[in-house]
Amino acid sequence: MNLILAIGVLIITGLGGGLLARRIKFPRISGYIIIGILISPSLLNIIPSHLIRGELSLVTDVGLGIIAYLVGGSLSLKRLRRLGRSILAITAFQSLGAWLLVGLLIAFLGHLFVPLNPPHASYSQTYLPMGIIIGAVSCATAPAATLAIVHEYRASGPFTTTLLGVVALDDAVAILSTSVAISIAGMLVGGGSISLYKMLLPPLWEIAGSLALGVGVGYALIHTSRLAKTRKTLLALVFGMIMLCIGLAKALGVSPLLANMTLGFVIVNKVKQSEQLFGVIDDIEDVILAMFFTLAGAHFDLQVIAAAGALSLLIILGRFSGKFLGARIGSSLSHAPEPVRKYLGLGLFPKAGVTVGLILLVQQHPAFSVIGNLMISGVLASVIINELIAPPLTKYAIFKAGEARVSS
Amino acid sequence: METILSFAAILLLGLLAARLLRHIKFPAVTAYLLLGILIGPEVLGLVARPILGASGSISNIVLSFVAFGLGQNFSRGNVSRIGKSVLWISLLEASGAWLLVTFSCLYLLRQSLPVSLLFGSIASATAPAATVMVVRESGAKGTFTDTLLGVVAVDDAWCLIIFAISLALARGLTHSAGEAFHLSAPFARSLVEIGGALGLGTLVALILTLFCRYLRSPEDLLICTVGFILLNTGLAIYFHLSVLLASIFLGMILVNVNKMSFRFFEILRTVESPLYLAFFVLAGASLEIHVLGKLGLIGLSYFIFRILGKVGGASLGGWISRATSPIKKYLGFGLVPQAGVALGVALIAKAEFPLMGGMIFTVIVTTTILYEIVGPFFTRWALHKAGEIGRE
Repeated sequence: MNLILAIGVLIITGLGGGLLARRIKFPRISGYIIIGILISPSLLNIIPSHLIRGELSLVTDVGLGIIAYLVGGSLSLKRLRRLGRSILAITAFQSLGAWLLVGLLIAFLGHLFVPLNPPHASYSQTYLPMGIIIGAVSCATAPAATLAIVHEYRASGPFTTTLLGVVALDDAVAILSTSVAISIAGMLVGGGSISLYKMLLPPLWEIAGSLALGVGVGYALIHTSRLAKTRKTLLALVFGMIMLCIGLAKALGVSPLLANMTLGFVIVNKVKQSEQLFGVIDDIEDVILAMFFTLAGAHFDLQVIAAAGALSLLIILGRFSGKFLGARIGSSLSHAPEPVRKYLGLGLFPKAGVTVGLILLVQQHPAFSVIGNLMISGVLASVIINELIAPPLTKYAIFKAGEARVSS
Repeated sequence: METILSFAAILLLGLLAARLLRHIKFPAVTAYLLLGILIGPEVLGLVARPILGASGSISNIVLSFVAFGLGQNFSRGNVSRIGKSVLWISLLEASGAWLLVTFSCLYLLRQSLPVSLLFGSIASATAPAATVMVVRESGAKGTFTDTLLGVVAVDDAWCLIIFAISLALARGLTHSAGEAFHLSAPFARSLVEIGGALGLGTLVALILTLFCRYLRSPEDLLICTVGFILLNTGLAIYFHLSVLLASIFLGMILVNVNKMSFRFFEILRTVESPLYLAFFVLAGASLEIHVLGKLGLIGLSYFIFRILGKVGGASLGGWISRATSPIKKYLGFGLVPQAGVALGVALIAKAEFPLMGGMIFTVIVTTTILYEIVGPFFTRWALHKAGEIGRE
């Protein structure tokens, strides 16, 4: 199968799945993902795996950049003004909650589910560091699924803004927490001491670098967009700037996701008439989302599920309860509006790229050679299962909060 | 350079180049191509290898979008209005270029008959993308424009037929006794290519029409349109059919079967600008400009006689079909660009005739560079002369 045929099949089968999902009142991305799983190399093997790993990975990178840009663009200061405190409190508590509960579950129940018998390794060198690290990467929430569902049901209001705000912030938290977790766990496994400098400097640099990059590209876009007279030119310009932001972020080793969110945030808050700058991307958003999520489903790997299914269930259970309780506590403490307190936690379950990217960091750490592969499989499996469960819950939360503008 | 960064550079520099060169009245297409040559591997080398490797896929995607749009011109109304002109003009401009280049090669340059025939048949091809882009950029509208787009679309089918005939003749002339020889083989192959493209385009158009009953929003329509165009192109590549013709037929069938089909074309226009830009920059980047020195006498004569043949043939066709005066006078000048189709058939010639094919291919590559650069100017001039560029 050639690349063009693969993209064609991806889009059309995905769209078919999306339409079926809508029939049974599920979010359409659930349809995209399920179709993607069906045509993945593990099941029907319609899309060959060398394309998924090769050229098609560009679709994921570019799609994520565009999605992040739109998420940033939905966070205008005008809307955030009264919600800022809630967003901060909820972000802090739900991240902490997920970290804590996932960590505790794996640390205390891990040995019942996952047999791990490495020679000469004590408990504090296996299940405890595993819990700490997987808990930390569980802080992240995927913006893509959230944005897709918000977009599909044209949701807007304080609940939606809070949701998107938390989703945007907690990826930065996850970068920080994972670095801290890897340092602590590395000490537990390999001995030695923790260096605060080593623990905090790289993630802070990554976050600060992403922000600076987003601001820089944002100002470049603001200045050049005045010259773009037609809508077509503007589309090429905005698209080019998003690609520039992704490309530079990768070259500098900072987060493309955070950088593009910052880009969108700068544009929405610094440009008086920013609708056009997002409108041109809105035009192509649906095609991108269809490709992106069908492709995400096509990453499905039966072997990973078989290897770490039990561990992944533990992760999902801990993360769901941690996020839900954390969001409750955070919203109550910050006196958030009623729907936010009741339902926000349900909207925070999607996870994807950031989590996967962060857990892959443990590969670079020689200390985790024993538990590393199991951790990666566990997290990958939990992402796959999670893809199926999370979107309908996010939809449910948005509808319960009464902010959907389109009936399901 | 990293792939995505390289893409960003292509888009942003392309916009910049178009803007700068607009001051000296260059069409955007030319600006993109020149930029491509500049950042291509032979000058600055800013384009990442993987992108150059994938430029085949990108150009197939863009060509299929262009061709899909061209197919739209063949609605029943349009066919009855300008169908006769389009048919006559395209037939005569393609054969005009064929005959004139063949004879000039044969008698002026004293080349052998097979070589002359092959040159002539390659000369019949016209590249649609540049012409379409100039039409879009200038906002031209009217009978002249419609006829031009129609001719550009049909031309490729003629080229395939003419090339098949010439290939068969050339084989017959060079064939030595004792070898198995089938005059009909290349001819049958080109008929399969055209017929297969028609069949595929029709099938996909029908499925698309059925599928669209379940769509409600314009967003879904866009997803659906893009998906089916790519499916069609992917299948055409898979079965070794002509990508251009398959997409033209897809658009052509759709516009006649589906009353709402204008929506497909409208919607597609909203997304294609970055793709077109990348297409032309990459086309420029993959031009091997160092062969320009090898243009030589044959190249020069090919360059001139192809244009003369197209202009003369188009006039004759316009005259026979009683087209309007601007069409008779200027339409041929819109047919100068030469690109993928010509290069494609030149590659076949090279494979079939290893001895003389190399020289033919080099000439086609060098003249393609020239045609791509001057072609847009000719097209714009013709549209301007025909008075169909809106005064904004």
